[in-house]
Amino acid sequence: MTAIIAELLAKTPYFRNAPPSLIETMAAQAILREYSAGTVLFLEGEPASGLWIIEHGSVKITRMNTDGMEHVLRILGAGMTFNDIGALDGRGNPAGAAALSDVRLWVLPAETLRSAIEAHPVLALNTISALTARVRALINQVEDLTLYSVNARLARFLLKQAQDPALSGPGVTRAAIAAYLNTTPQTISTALRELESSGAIRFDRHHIYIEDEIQLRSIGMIE
Amino acid sequence: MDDHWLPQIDRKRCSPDRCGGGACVRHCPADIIALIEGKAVLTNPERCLYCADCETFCPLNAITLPYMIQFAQPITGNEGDHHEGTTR
Repeated sequence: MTAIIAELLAKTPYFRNAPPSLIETMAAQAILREYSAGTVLFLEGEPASGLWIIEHGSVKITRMNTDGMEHVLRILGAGMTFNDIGALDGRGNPAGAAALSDVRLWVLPAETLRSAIEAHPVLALNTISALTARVRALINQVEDLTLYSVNARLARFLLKQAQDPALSGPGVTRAAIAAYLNTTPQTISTALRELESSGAIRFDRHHIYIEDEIQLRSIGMIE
Repeated sequence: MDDHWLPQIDRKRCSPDRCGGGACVRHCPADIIALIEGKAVLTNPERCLYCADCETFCPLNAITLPYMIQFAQPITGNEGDHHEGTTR
């Protein structure tokens, strides 16, 4: 069992090039959690239990406004980590998380992660690199939300999902896409129809096939 | 049939009293949704067309359909391998 989490940990940005003995020690302290689709994993503001790693399934990271409207910050798949910030700064969870599909997850306790970073400079450098990557991703997300039309944002989202099998595998709903792109499911339905009419995508039961990547990239204003 | 690729009904949100007695039941073109014990249920999931009408017409957002997003397979020229998409 620990071999699985050891392999997952070794592939996270935090433990890249870390000594195998250290990864094995970390793996032995990770806790396995399994949940069914729709389960709330933790709430925004709760004390952070640790760094979560996805072995199987997909997870959404959300923030709620005061009216209870949900905004999906990220949709994550196998091999990805979440609640990194809460695990690292020891404060509350900056966002909530819920399972989009049946999931198998591991939690590396926050104290375990922080102690390892204090003792191993390579982990500190890895952590800086991982956090700068998150900042860059958030800057891109702000750019998407503020500068592009719904159709362009949807085109960019579809390409991103298709390029990452971990994200596309468990499937994603229109409601989740809408919450991620900060719009309504009805608007997403209209935008999907327009992309289908343009020939860029095609529906086939539960598949959304990208038929014309060049056109979809053009709609998404990707050079 | 893989249950994952069927309309997912959130039984907590589903409330036929608030949608005129089952908007999904009325709009399902395959007639495979029924109200059982006050909640929408797929009675013949193998006949589901995956048209998303149930999702579209549910005013409570209690029904969602997961989609797998992927690049199309290269068309080999064999039309038998190429399934036409569902128009929505």
